[in-house]
Amino acid sequence: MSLENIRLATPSKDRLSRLKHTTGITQWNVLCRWALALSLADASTPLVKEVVTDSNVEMSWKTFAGQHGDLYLALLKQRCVADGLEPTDENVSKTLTVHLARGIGYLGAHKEMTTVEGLIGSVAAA
Amino acid sequence: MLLRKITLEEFGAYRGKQSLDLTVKKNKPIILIGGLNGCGKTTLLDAIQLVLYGPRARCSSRGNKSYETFLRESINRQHDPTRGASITLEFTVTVDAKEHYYKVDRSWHTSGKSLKEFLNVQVDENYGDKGQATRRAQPGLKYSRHLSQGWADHVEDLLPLEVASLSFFDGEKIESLADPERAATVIESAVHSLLGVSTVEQLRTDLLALQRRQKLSDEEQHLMDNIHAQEQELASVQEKLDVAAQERADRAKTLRKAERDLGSLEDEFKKEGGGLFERRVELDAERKQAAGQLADLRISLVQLAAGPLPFLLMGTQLKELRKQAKHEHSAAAAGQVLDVLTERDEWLLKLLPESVRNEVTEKLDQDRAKRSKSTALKVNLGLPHDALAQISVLDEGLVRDKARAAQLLEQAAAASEEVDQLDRQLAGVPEQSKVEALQDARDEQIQKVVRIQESIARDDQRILELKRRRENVTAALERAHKSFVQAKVKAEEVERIIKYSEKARSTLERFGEALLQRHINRLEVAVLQSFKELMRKQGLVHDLRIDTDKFTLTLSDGEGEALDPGRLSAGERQLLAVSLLWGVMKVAGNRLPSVIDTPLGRLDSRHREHLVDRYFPHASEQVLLLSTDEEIDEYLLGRLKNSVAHTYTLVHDDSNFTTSVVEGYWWNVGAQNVA
Repeated sequence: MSLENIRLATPSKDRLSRLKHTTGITQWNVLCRWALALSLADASTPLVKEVVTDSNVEMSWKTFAGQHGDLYLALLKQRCVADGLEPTDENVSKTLTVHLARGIGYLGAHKEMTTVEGLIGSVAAA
Repeated sequence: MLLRKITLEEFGAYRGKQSLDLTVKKNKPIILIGGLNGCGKTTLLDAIQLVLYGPRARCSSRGNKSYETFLRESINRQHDPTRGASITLEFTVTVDAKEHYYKVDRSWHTSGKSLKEFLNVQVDENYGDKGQATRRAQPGLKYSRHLSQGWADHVEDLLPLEVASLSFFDGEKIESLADPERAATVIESAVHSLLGVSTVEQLRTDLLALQRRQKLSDEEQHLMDNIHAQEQELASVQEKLDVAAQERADRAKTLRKAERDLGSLEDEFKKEGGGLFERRVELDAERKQAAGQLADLRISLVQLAAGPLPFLLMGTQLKELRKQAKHEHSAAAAGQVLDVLTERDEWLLKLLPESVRNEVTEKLDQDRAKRSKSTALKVNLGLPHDALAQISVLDEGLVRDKARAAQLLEQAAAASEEVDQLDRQLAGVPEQSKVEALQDARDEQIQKVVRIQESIARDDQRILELKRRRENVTAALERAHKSFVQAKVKAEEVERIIKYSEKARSTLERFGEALLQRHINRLEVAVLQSFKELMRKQGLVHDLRIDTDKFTLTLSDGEGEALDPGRLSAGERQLLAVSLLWGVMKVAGNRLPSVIDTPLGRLDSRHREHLVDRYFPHASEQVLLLSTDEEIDEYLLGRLKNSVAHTYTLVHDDSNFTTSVVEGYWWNVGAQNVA
């Protein structure tokens, strides 16, 4: 499927670079998972439909998803359907790219999310 | 002193044991011993001296030989030298009107290369008793260890060697005494030894020695010096001590000031927040630790972030996904049942009869359609068959991670709070530059105080040492004073001793001079009288003078002119010598035996007669005459006979060169006892 390689957009990469610094999380894939989760949690449809994945940051699906690959994929498919799209490979890939870009944006925008305490506190403090 | 008996054993030419009884009787003082030349007359004279004086004896045959060689050669040549030779002399001495009997035995023998000599002195049993004095002590003799060991000293008391040489003389050599020089020595020794002048002289010398031993002035000076040195030492120690005490006091003042300064510096330092500043390091360390803890917690959080935590953000989505998964699961299950049912329905229809088949078929189709409808999905996500299980596992993991995350977050918050707190405290720490100067000043002041304290400790040590030293010096000074006082006391004593010994010495000197003068006068008279008695030419010598300084003999003739002894003939000189000895003996009191060897050589018949008639019977209480047959011949023997107590002849056997003693003289053998 076309999820083999996931490439980030340059603005996303720049933002992630900063986040790597502020959170102390040094792995792209970990930050990307958090970004995807943030975006998927938002039920609204992303406004941007097309993302230019032009940066040099690239990873495989396996690297991205880790041991929970099936569930991430299932959630992506579910989102496709919810957004009125057939959960085809192409649509899933596009959805991933879009949501990743939006999630990375969310990460940078929430000030509390810029530290690892804030990041984890957003899910565990309650 | 009277000789009683002499026994020679293997001595010189005397073979075996030879005894001579030397006892004399009243008015018979002469023991006449005859012997031809070489028979051993002189050996007999030597024997008497040897037994009494040992190594000091002036034996004519000894010459320059060593004593040991002389003794070795004195053993009879035919005798076994390892058995040796001996001389025994018995004699009596009257001391304090008490007669003592002595038996002195001197023996020697060779032992290998060495020679052993023994001296054995026996005295009568009454010796030393103050009790009854027997006129003639019986020879109940016993060995006296004390006298044997100290014989050399004792014999000097009985018969001094110097005197013995006058008492035992060789007539052949007597002539030399007429020479003024030679006579002078004899006179001098006679006067000194025999007449007691030497005792006075000795007393004076002893007093001088005593005086010299009392030297104190040097010692006294030394003591004085010592006292001065100690006093100086004490003064210097005291001075040093004063200086040290002053220094100590000054330093104590300095210390008090330094301590005050330090106190004010401490106060200032505190006021400037110095305490906090000093805590800075501590705070830094605490902050570092807290920061480290926080960093560790963050690393744990980062690791946790890599886990499934993001799923918690998608709680709603996950719930829907679970529902969907259930649907898909039950749809899949229903689909499988439908296939089985179709198969079974076909099998059942075949079993049914034709009549009911259509009705049943319809019913079954309705049922399957209904079932088929329930399996239809609105959405099919094509989830894996274990999706539900995966979600369950995820849920469990999320519960764990969430708890862990909450814990870590709490700790991180606390650590962060601590870091903040410490940062605030650190922010309150004053600027180093502000406090540094004060701190330096304070540290320096502390150093200064310590230095002063050390100096004070050294001062105290020094003061202690000085005090100890002062005590020592004081004690030494006291000792010096004491010994000085003692010395002073002794000095007075010494002064007294010196004063009185000086007095005594001058008295003794005058006494000695008077004694000498008296003796010399008596001697002059005695010698002149003797000479006149013996001389044939009565008018030749008119007067005789003895010089008190040089003891020289001066003869003068009738006109008072000095007479040169060289003008006298050999015979006359011999007579002069005999007169001299006789005079000496007369002055000494005839207390000693005279042994005269070869008395009449060179004398003419008239002089011989004079000697025989006037001298021999009166020379002493005991006179041993050692004579040849030519000297005392038959004629002279006849004139002498009445004074003779015993006669002996020394008979020499030419065949074996040995001498034996035979009683009697040549012309009266067997008649010697005729009174």
